[in-house]
Amino acid sequence: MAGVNLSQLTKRYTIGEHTFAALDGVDLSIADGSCTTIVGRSGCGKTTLLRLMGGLEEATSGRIDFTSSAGPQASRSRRIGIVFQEPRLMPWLTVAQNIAFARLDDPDRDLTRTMVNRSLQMLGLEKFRDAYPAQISGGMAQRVALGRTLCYDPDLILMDEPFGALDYFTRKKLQNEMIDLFLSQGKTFLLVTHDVEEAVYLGQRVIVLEAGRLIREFPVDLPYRRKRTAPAFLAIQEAIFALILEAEQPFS
Amino acid sequence: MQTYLQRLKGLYIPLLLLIAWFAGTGLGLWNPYIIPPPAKVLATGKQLIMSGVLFKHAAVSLYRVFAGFGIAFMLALPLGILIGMNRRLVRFTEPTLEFIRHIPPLATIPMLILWFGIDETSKLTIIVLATFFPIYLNTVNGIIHCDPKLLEVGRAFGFSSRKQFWRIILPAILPYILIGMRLGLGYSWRSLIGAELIAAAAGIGYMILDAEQLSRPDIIVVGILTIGILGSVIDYGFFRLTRYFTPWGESEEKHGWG
Repeated sequence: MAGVNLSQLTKRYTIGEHTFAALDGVDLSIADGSCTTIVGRSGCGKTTLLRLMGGLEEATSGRIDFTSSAGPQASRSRRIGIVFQEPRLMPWLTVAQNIAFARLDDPDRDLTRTMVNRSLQMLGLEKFRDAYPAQISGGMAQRVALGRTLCYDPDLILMDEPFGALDYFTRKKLQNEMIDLFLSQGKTFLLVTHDVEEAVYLGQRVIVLEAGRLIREFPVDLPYRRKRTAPAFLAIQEAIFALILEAEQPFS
Repeated sequence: MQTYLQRLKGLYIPLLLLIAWFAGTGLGLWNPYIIPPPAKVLATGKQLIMSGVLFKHAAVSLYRVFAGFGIAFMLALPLGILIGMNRRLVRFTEPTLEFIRHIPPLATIPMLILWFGIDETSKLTIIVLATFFPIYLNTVNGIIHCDPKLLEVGRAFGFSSRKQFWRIILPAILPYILIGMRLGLGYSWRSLIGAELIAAAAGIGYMILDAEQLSRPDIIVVGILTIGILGSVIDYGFFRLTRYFTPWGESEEKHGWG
């Protein structure tokens, strides 16, 4: 498992003569084995935050420190898995091979096989193990992407609006599957979304990001699986809505 | 069943042409010297097959096609990968390659004969020139169009550049390479016949040229049909090979045989 501490994390982009901050001095601490959601409107910097943490982009300034309950030695060898908004499966590999993708060169083939089988079973994909991505539905493809990340066995799983491109029913189903995975795997989950209801449904803590700044966080002390119509659930949801609307300002 | 019926549709036009050929000859609509009768072409074909002449010429042509294609492939693929992976090199190579690309290989025949004589080297060079560009350009194109989102997946899993190449780039560009190879094979076949028509002592092209000098249009037609049939058979073989190597079906829609 791994947690992460962000201090004064800043990312600036320059387009032509203009420089703008996608992230502006973000301080955030994510505990080991927690499930945190980051919510905000498009362009608030949530994807940038995830990409910086995943090592896909370099921060302009600030620090990202990974922590581990197993001590500093373990935190150095941490693994980070990313689930993108689109499944991004390799079209030339079957479902099983895609799940094994990060481990295809692992000499321990038995371990890879075991982990692939476990992921296939966990995500209900056994029947489709030999199918190619073009032959499965969008929801199934996103499940495969999740399986690929799980098979990589990361300490920290970063998810960038993973259910955003799916239909309503598949989205709800996968949200529940994600909760089951979180509860059974004990890994650290960090999910970004623009869907406030999804953020409250999934996160133990909801962080609100606006114009590159962390404006507030909401603890969600409700047991999983949450009832979306429960007064406490709706109250948190309303508070986040109000905060985002109130904080609305022209993107700079 | 439906697919077989669909495929049969491709035979309608050849069948119509064959009927017209038979009917026109039977009705005496044209001079048999200009368009030889089907029966005569059939008899000549049979005789050329039985005597082994057709096989000899076809074997020589096929050898040239595959040898030239092989050399072109060995040159074009590594160069395509090198340039595609190091785009800064494009500035150095692009003007020269663009210049050569626009020269029809057949236009270089007089110079090639001057440099290499009329033996195999000049003909192989023509095939290499004709085949190189489709393979090279498709390889470079494949790398340029390799989905950056897939490459990012590799980066997210901490792949080294070497692993990125073998695990993502190469499989992703395989359909492009195969299409380039298939196009190249067609070009090499066409340019070879051209080369053989000008300077050769054997090969289907030579057989056609020789028949022209002997005033034997029936042999010319046998030669033309052989070229068409061999070209189609090779293309179909390549299509099957493509399907085998890209079972995920991405390249299928780009082929005519499916």
